[in-house]
This record gives sequence, C-alpha cells and structure tokens, in this order.
Amino acid sequence: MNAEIWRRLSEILDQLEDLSGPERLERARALCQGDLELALAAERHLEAEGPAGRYFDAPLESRAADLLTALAAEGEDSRDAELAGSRVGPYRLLREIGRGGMGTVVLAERADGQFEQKVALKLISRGAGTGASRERFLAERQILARLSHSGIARLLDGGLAEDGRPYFAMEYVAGQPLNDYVEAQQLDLDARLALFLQICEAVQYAHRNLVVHRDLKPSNVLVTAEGEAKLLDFGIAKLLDTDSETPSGLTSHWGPLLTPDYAAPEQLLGQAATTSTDVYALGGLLYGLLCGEKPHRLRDLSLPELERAILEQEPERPSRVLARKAAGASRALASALHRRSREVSGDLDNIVAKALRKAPEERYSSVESLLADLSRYRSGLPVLASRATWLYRSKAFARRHRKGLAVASGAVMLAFAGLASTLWQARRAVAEAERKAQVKDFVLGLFAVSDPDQAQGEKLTARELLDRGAARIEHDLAGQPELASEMLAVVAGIFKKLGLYQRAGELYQRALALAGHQLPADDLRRAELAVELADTFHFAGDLDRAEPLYQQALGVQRRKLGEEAPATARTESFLARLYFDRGDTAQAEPLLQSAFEHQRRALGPRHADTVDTENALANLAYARGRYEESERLYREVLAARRELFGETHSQVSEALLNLATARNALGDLVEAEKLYRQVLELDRKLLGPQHPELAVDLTNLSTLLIQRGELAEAEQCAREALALRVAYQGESHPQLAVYLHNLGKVLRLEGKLAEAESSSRKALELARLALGPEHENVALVELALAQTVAASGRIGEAETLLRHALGILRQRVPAGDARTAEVLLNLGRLLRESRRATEAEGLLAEAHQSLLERFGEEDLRVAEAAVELGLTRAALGQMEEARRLLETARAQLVRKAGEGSPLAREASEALSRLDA
Amino acid sequence: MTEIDPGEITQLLAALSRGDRPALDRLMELVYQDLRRRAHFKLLSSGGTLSTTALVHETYLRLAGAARPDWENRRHFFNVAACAMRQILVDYARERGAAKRGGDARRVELDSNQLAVEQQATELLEIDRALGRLASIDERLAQVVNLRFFAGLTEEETGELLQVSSRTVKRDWQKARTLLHQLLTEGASAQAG
Repeated sequence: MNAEIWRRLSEILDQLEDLSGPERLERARALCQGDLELALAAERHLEAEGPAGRYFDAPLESRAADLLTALAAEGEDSRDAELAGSRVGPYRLLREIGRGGMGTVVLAERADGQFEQKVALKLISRGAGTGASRERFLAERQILARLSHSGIARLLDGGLAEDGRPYFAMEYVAGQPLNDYVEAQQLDLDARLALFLQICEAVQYAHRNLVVHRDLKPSNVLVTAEGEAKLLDFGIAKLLDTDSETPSGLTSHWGPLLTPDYAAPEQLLGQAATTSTDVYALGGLLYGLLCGEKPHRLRDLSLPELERAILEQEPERPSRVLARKAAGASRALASALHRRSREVSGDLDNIVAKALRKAPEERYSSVESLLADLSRYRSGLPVLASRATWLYRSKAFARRHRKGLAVASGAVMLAFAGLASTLWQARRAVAEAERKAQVKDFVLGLFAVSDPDQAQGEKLTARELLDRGAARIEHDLAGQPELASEMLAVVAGIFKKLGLYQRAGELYQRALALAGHQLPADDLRRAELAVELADTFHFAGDLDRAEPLYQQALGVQRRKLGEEAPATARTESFLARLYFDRGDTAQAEPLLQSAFEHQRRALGPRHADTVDTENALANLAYARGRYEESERLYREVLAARRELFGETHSQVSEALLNLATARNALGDLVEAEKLYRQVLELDRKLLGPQHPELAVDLTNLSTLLIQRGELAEAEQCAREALALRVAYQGESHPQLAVYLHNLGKVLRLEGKLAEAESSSRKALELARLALGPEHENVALVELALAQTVAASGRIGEAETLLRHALGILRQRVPAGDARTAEVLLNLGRLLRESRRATEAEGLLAEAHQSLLERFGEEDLRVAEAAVELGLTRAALGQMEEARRLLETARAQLVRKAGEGSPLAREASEALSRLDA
Repeated sequence: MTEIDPGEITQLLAALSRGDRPALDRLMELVYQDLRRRAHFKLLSSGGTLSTTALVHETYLRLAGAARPDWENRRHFFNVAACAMRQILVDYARERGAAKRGGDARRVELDSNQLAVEQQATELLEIDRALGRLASIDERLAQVVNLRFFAGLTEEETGELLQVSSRTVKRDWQKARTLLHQLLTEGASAQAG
C-alpha cells in the first residue's frame, strides 16, 4: 500500500463511520467508483478490522508495560553482578558465580567478621515467590537447615534483603555442574552410575526427612574435585511456593520456578509435587548421564508444543539416542558410542523409562526402589523395570487404542517420524531437501492440532488422525498429485506398521493411481509404490495380488536400473520370499541366489537387506533338507546381525533360534541345546523374565531335552512355560492347549501317566474350543492322548481316538503328510500289538511309503516305520519281506542311533526270532 | 546519576520548536536515560508491574514540569518520551536476543517465563518494524500509535497534544491498528513463503 492509495482509502473510511457489517463493504465499493486497486485495498482493510481489534485491543494497554517489567527485571538481574562489595543481610558480596531461572548466585562472606566463612548467596529474582509469608518462610527454612548430609549443600541462613527479595546463604561448594564434570572427566558408564547412586542416596535422605527437592536438574548438582556429588537448592522451590493450591502451569506466573527440561507432568498440571516428582527428575538426570541429552528436546518448541511433549511424548530411549549420535560421529567415536548404546540398551533403558513414566503411580514408588533396581543391574541380577516393561507396553497400547488423541498423537507422531525418515533414506535419490521439509511440515501440521476451535472437546484416535491426514493430503494437494502421492505413501506406511493392512493397501493404491496420472507406466517411482503395495498384500497373506505387482515392478527396475541395482535386488528378494511362502521353493531359489549376489556386491555382506535375503536363503535350504548349508548361512546371518544390532536384539535372538533348529536337524543335540538356552537367556533380557513369549523358548528347549533324554528338566521347562501363559491369560485360555499338550508328552515319557492324561485331556478340550473339533492340530492332541491312554492299557479308547484323528487328517491335509503317517504308525502298532496284523498291515505300509518319499531312506522315522511294518509282515508269515525291511532298518538305526538304542535292539531281536 | 537542569530542558524545547536537530537528540538522550533508570528503580521499590503511563508522566513532571511548557512543547516532549520508551523496549528486546544467541558462555537454563518474554520481545520488534512502515504511509497515524502505545496516553490526552478531537483520535487509532495488523501479517506471510 502506498501513501497515495491510503490517503484516498482513509477518506472513504471516514464516510463509513456510521455503518456496520455488510453495508460498510457495500458502501465502500460504491465509493471506490470502479478503481480496482482502491477497491481491493478497501476490501482487505475492512476484512482486517475484526482480527486487528482482537489483536490489539484488550492487551494493548498492558502489553508495553508487561514487556517493560519483564525486560527490566532481567536487566536488574544482570546488575546484581555489579553488586560486588555491597551487603545483603550480614553478608558481603564478592562475585557472581551463577545464574538461573530463579535468580543470581553470588559468592559472599560474612561481613560482621564473626566467622571466616564463604557462602553461596542466592538472590531470588523478583516475581519468584515474592508473596511468601514471612512466618512460613522462616518455618520452612528451619526444616531445611536441619538437613545434614554429605551429599546436600547445607542451608546456612536466609532472609529478606533490603529491597524485599528473599535470599539464601548456602554452604559454598567448589565444584563443576554434573554434566560438565562427567564430560570433562570422560567418565565411563560405571563411574557415571556410581555418581548417580550418590545423588539418589542424598535425595533418599531428604525424603526420609520429609523434604522434596522439586527442581532437580544437572545444574543443581555440583561435583567436587574429589568426585563427591552435592545437591544444591534443596527444598527452595517449595519454600518459595506460597500457595500450593495455585495452579502452576508453565504459562502462569509461577513459571520461573520450573525448569521445563526436567519438570514432571504433574508439575506442569499444577498438582502437588511429591517424592515421585523427584523420582521423575532423577530419571531425567540418569537419562543425561547415559546419553548426554535431555529427555525432551524442548528448546525450539512453542509453549503448547512444549507442554504436549512433557505430558504425552515418551522420550527416545537413551540407547537409541546414542546409536543416532554414532551415525553422525567420527569412526573412533562412533564405535565408542555404539558400545555404550549396547551397554545401555535393555535394562538401563527400562530403568530410565520407568522413572520417567508420565503417571506418578507407574514410576518407581520411591527413590529406594530406583536405587534397588540400579543395584540389581550393577550386580547382574534381573531388573524389575524390565519385567514391568512388556506389561506397561501392552497396557499403554490398550490405553492408546481406547483413549485416542491424548496419548496416541504423541506415540504415533514418533512412529511417523521414524518411519518417514527411513522411507526418505531409501529414497534419497529422488527426494530433494525442499520436498522433505514439506512432508515434515505436513506431518507436524497433521498432529499439532493448531486450531483450538477444532481441537476443543474432540477426541481422535490415531486411526482417525491418519484417515483425516490422508483426506487432507488429497484435498490440500489436489494440484500437486506427485507430492500427494508421495505423502499418501508415507501415511500408508504407518497403517502398515500398525498392522492395518487393508487400509494401507487402499492408500498405496490411491498413491499409485495419483502417480499414474502423472508418470509414465515404466516410471521408477511407480515401480517403488507397486513394491510397497505388493509387500502390504504379502504381509496380509494375499499372495495372489502381490505377485503380479512384484513382477511388474521388477520388470521396470531391471530395465531402468539394471539387474544389480539394490532396488531391483530388493524386489527380487521379496518376490522370491513370496514363492517360498507359497511353498514353491524351486522357483524361489534361483531368484534368491541372484538377489543375494547383487546385494552383496552393491551393498556389502553386512547390509540389513543383504542379511535378510541371506536369512531367506537359509530358510529355503532348511526347508529343502539341506541342513549343513542352512547352518552355514544361519551362522553368517547371526554374525552379521550381531554386528548390525548388537548382542541384545530380537533379530539376533531369531538368528540364534534358527541356528539351533538347524543344529538340531543335523543331530547335534549338544550345541542345539546350548543355543536354545542362549535364545531363552537373550529373550529374558529383551522381554523381561516373566514375558509370556518366553514360553515358546522354554517349549523349544523342553522338546530338545526330551530328545536328549533329560526328562526331568524337560518337564520343568514345560511347566514353567505353562505357568507363564497361565499368569498371562488365566487358566482356561484356548492358547494354553499347546503348552498343556507339550507337558502331557513329557509326562507320558516319564511314565507319569495319570498326570499326562489329565494334561492332554485339558489340552484337547481347549484345542477343540479354540480351533473347532475338526482341526488338524486337534488331531495331534488326540494322538498324544491316545498314546497315553494306550500306555495305560485302555486299547479300545486309544483306537477310537486314533481313528478320529486319522479321519480329521485325511480330510484336512494332503495325502503323504508326515502327520498322517505318524497317526497311521501309531494306529498300526496298536493293532499289531492287539494281534490284528491284517488290519495293521495296510496302514503301516502307507505310513512307511509316505515317510520314505518325504524323508528318504536314511531317516530314522522311516526306519521306525520299517521295523513296525517288518514285525507285522512277520506276524502275517511274509518272512522274506519282513527280513528285508528289518535288516535295512537295523543297519540305519545302528549307524544313526547306536546299537544300544531301543529301536535297534527291537529290530535285532525280531531278526533273531525270524531266524529261529 | 546526572542531575537534570530544568533550564536546559526549557532551552532544548525551545530549540526544538525551531526545528533544531541536535536539540532533539540531546532531549531524547536525557529522557531515555531517565526513563530507563527509573524503570529499574521502580521495579526495585514496588516489586509489582511497571506502568509505562506512570513512568512517562513522572518523567515529564521531573524534567519539564518546572518549565511549564506550552502545548506545542508538551507535544514535542511527549513525542520524544514515546520514542524513548519505544527505543528502550526495542533495545531490551535486542539485548535479549543477543544474550539468547549466547554471548555468555555460562549455561543458563531457559525457563518458561523467559520463553514467554522471548515471544513478547520478538513481537515487539515486529511491531516496531511495522510502525516504521506505517509512518511512511501516514505520519499522523504512527504518532497516535506512539503516544497511545508507548507513552500510554489516553485518547483525550492524545487529542489535546495533536490538536484534534478525541473522536478523530479514536478513528485514527482504529485505522492505525487495522493497517498495522495488515503490515504485521504481511510480514509474517512474506517470511513463511
């Protein structure tokens, strides 16, 4: 607007004075007499009148005054430094030694010459607690003065200065602030923890004396040259807070007392500070000691964002902060950071998280219990925080899904950020920095509900937020389909992460359609989206829709990027895994081989993509019975994952488990047992000692121990597994069937038939309930029960069970399945032993044949069936047939299981009877 | 603390009505120092909030009251006082910005109160810039804002000094704040875009 236009507009405005609303605008338009520029200026001006009034009117009179007050007060603090030489109470000020939100700290000495004592004199800023009643101030001061602990800087004196401001004289501590000290001394983890324990002990002492610190932060902890930690300002916050009923949110005038970086949520909400508030702040201190950062990065946030961060966001785990820092560090530093990250990951992460819980009742109940858990950690005992973690996670998850926005937005935002960053990394080549910023803005905008009218009283679930976001993308970016497509893909990725495959698929399709309008059919970006969509279908088990998409994308990538490009190889690997999941190992194998070669060359053998493909290759080798090869590959995968993720990681646990299974298949029961034990130990660390998923590990170990004949320990493991699940799901959850079934098997082998039967019966009841009476797994439970019942001599009942099981399997699984063969074998044996060899013969011949086809001549199961069939044929008088079967079987059994094994002996005895 | 000679103020005001530029600078300096010093002093003694209105009026009485200036000199004085107050606030805000960017090596925990002040200070600097542009569009509107906002004068007082009716002041005030608001939001969107 220039002065000339304004002059004319100003005159027009004067003529509108008595009008209001639409009439004003109408009249203004008329007065502009067709001058477009003037009319536009008038419209803008009239439009701005409302908002301008709201902006300037009410606070205007006081705004300049407020600002002057605040700014002048700061200026005043800086002048305190110039107070050197002047007196406060009986003290002569020497020099300023520190400054914080509450005021200035000055080194001072007694001016009356009574003692040669230097003190730290704290002059409180105006506005911080000026209304304190003198009586209460003095009473509180008495309590604080009684705190006498080597870890607490003693309060010596306090009063009101001549200008009415409160001051405190404290024991002067020559030391460095906590964080400066640990950095300067480069303390290792153990030394840091030792220092932290000292701090905890001091706080614990104060709590026992009914004093809460309320403002613990690194700058309030000084460490002396001797390495002794001293806490400053104990209870001062309380002393200054005259009226605990006053809400003390961040934005109120109590603000100066609070350091938001370490403030607990309840302090923000204006609730009373308790010992639990100090536990939270201690969690913040420990966080900084472990990873060198604050739990929340608040510096660049606006006030509402800051409040939301403290009230809702889970801080990033310290180990992850360290890993993130390592990514940007020099090589030497990076390896130190990685090591620290591994040390911190797990128990220490969990301890910090428990101290920093949003709800006070979910934190450690006292500093004592925090101390105790840390001591447990230092002496290598299981940590309570870790045990609580899964429970908390599942509770938190449930809460998130129930309550919606309040908790969900924070958590989802984190997921969003993490996911977006990996996606973007993968697309570095395509996405330029500007677009990245746009995506970020969008994501932030989506979750920061900026319009208070919109946020009021509305509760959104994470899912609704995402749906709303997707709708907004399509609406707001209607003119930029390419960008809209990219962002929809990001949102789709989150749905995928949440396991909402259907919605994820829809959005990927939409993204693909948008890209389709813009991009040629062989565009790489479209291919990439197609891969993501296919992967979503794949995850959801819809292999038929995934396959053509993979193939199409693969074609484009091969043509445009070449066979060896990482993106091509990745798609190849995905497609191969789809074939594998479909059971088509022949088609999967060459594809996996080629993907593996290309990834190894382009990305190196230790890249996560390469390792995933290698793992798939190992699975394939195992499935095709090439156990040696699978073992070798699994070992490499294990080594690579240890390097990539550190020792304590679920991916490492999975690799160990795979390797154990391969060693087991190779007959190395000793190493397999060792590995299964490692898996169990690692998962205990990862999940906590009471986690229900440990039942799977225990069951694996138990099954192996059965093979090794260690029945007593096998039973113990099976019982522990069951107990974990019962604690988790109660006595009658259908999923208990598996564990009852396994326990039943061990008990039968131990000859504890009554217990075995009751366990298996309960398993059968639950399995029928969970799966329906005709499920193939029900048949397996029936088989186990039949074995026990037969061992108890109730042959008829066993036969009924076995025939029922056989009926199910014939219906449900393809001919030649190993499970059918096992039921046939058991039924055949039962019939032969009941002198019904004619009936047995056909069943056993079928079992033998299908096992032979499936596992080859060398397999022990085949030998077992051959012995049964041989004995039956002998009973039927077919001596030649019988001899041939028994001899072959005996040779195998002797070679594989030893001459003394029960089956080998049975074969030998049968052969000698034939000879006689 | 320099004592201020009422005679000097009278001379300065007289020189000012002759359009003497150095006189304006000198008066500005005196008023600026007096206001800033007394803001600090007042804060110490009252402990409460400061009133810009009261400060400016006291400064007027201390510096010019004895000289019994006529309305024209009063107008000069209050214009100068408003500018000085504006300058004090702007200087505080700028000093604050510099301090925040870390001239000081000491770690200062940033608390919420400081954050709020931070925002106010930023806002003030924006208003100051917008006022500069307003003055280039309409000098008198800028004067009204200065007197009302920074010197804390009422509509009547402002009207008296500018020799217009308080109704005109009211009208000007409304125009000015609407224009200012446009200038402020323009500035914001120009930055964002």
